Amino acid sequence: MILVKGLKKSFRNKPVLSDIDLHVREGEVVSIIGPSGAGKSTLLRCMNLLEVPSDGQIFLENRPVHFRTNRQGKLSFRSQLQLTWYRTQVGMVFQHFNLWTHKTVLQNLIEGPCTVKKVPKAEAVKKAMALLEKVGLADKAHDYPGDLSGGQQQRVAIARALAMDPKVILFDEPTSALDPELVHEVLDIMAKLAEEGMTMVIVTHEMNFARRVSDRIVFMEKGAVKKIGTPDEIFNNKEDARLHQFLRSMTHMAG
Amino acid sequence: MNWDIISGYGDMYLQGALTTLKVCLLAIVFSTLLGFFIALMRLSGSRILRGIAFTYVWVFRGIPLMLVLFWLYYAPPFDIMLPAFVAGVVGMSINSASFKSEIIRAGLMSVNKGQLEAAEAIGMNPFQKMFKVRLPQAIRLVIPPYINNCVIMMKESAQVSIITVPDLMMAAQKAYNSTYTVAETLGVAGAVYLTLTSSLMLLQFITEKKLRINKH
Repeated sequence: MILVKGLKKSFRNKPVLSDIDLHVREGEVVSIIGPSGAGKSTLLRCMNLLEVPSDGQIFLENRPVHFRTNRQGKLSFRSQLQLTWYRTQVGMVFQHFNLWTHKTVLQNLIEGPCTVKKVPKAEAVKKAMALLEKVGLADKAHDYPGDLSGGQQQRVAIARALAMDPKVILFDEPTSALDPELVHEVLDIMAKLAEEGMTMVIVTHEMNFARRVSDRIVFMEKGAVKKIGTPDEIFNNKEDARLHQFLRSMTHMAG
Repeated sequence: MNWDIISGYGDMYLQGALTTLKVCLLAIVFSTLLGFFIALMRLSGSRILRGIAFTYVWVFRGIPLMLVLFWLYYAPPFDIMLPAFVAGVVGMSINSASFKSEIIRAGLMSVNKGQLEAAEAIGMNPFQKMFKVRLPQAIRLVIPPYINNCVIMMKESAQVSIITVPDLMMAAQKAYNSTYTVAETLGVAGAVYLTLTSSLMLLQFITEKKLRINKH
């Protein structure tokens, strides 16, 4: 599905990611864990080209993704115009939800389909309402994001990503900005999506969740992938001292 | 108050007020468009465009409107003789665009980065991102300073009478020069200016209310 090859990223000559290879297969749930500063979010943002990789290649279903930078290291204007095909198929859910505050919940959901994919409005609305039903927020369709709790906003953000019919959704610490008692409502929906076979890449600090839903877990540290394996391989690991220490500190925090 | 004087100049005042309104509205439209492009240039990635925009703002924000009006009307570049009305509109547009571009730039910059990233991530191209997400939010933020600038423009438009545009100020001057009454000539003109600027403030009130994001 998504293939990342030799991806590198540096900010002002300071390397943040070095030589990342990652292959996410169709229907797979891959969680990325690791200490803060490991480059997890940067990797995810590079995969969606919100940050432009300094080097390396990305393929979506074998189709290469072309990108160029301008002098400021941002995506070139031309690349921005040409990446629509990729962005519409790769959804993104942000830590801080990033809903458009001047639009209602329903408008947030239909904006992408109507503007980018030129879906007729009636059709988009119908689909959006079904998605709101799915995330349990149909009654909030005409509210503004500012009137919703963090958990509700994140559920809307997930519905907004789903409204585009993406092939894969990237989650960038989707529960890190939430009050602890609101975390489960977002995780429940993500678990439901995973069950339905959605391809997902999740950067998270929720170790129990990652263990439960992931097919594979990626452990990153200092800008590199240190270990990839099934949840069992990762969590029952004995030989990698650093991973062991990291997991112990995380579970200690949760406990 | 001598009402005969007022009724005697009534028609001239009306024509003058209409001219003032026309000059202002046209200058507001042109300066807004020009200001928007200058703001975009200042935010662009190209160093050349940024330089041009910076220089524009630096020069025209820093020199008097009246000087620009004089230059356009009495000493036009390349000897392009402009009718007074056109010179007035162009001069005011050039002058005001420098202020408006800064207001618009501030508005564009204050839009939450995350919301722009969300627009990008969903596949919007730079134009869709600008018109669907960035501008609608920026507009809400810039209404107060923007209308503020328009009110100032409306009052400054009195300066176009210097280059013989027959606006409200010129009508008031003429009436005063031939009657030497103050309240009936300058006073009435002041009241008309106040009415015009008040309508802008009313416009601000209405748009702010209309664009307010419902928060009960």
